[in-house]
Amino acid sequence: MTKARDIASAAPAPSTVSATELGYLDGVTSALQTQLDGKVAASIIAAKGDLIVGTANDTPGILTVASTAGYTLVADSAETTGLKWAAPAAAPFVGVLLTKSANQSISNSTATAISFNGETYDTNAFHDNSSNNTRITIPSGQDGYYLVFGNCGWGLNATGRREFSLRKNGSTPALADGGTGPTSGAYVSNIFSIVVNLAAADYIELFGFQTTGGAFDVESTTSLGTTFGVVKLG
Amino acid sequence: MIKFTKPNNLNGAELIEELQANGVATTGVPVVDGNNDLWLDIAKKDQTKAQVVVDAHNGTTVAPEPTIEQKLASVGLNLEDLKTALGL
Repeated sequence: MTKARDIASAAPAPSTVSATELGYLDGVTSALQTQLDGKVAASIIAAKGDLIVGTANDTPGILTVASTAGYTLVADSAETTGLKWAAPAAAPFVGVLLTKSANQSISNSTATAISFNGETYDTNAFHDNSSNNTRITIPSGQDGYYLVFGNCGWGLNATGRREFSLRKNGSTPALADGGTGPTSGAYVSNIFSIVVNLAAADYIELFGFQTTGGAFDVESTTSLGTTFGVVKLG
Repeated sequence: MIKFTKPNNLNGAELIEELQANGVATTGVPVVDGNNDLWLDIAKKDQTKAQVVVDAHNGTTVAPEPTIEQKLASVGLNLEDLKTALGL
């Protein structure tokens, strides 16, 4: 027999409390009010989305729901609750855009890797302006899908074709290629873009190809916009 | 693909013709990589013959002047159009 049952059976029951109700005290080992005071009251919730959070040891508080849809919860030690609602942080931009400061002679009917000696941006050391400067190399930890884009800018010449190819790890077939025949009085731009899956240490290169019959230049970035770059998509 | 030293005066079309004239079959076009090396897609057995051809290669590097027909075609005309325009 527990103490509560002893009381229930030994003492006359109050008229408003039944023996069954007194029996609910079975198992109680300490002051009920103290225990109740230690519980979080449902009434502290004021509205949909409110969160019960700790503001200190043994101290609950309320973080009201964000007033702007789409906000996410982030840790912030400056806040009373240690948390706050904030606009989702944008994914960090990862990419490179290469330029070249001088024209590059391309032999007739010869696929030639185009070098780049300038970087408009290079967030993760994709490229080196002097060593292997035809390559964009995927850094460690940056595997994923990339938008690869570029342009071969060719000067004026009415003969033959102007082509580009995009090669991965120096191999063929190319990831992408294309070209056009020029018209007199018009510059030729081989502008391309493609989404490819690349892993760390993979490298890609842009090749130019022309059939004027002699050597012919892929022109500089400032002259005819020859560029090469990637942007990581995810 | 087999690597060679790139000739100073490289002309890919002429080099292919010279290789074929010397019995070296090639596929694809000559490739110059980022190290300025020349790569040819030929059989390993032909490497020695190809080396002789590459060493001797002295290609055309100045593009020939386009013919009148080519110049006219590049702007959508032909000789008859020109004669008509000139009343000839």
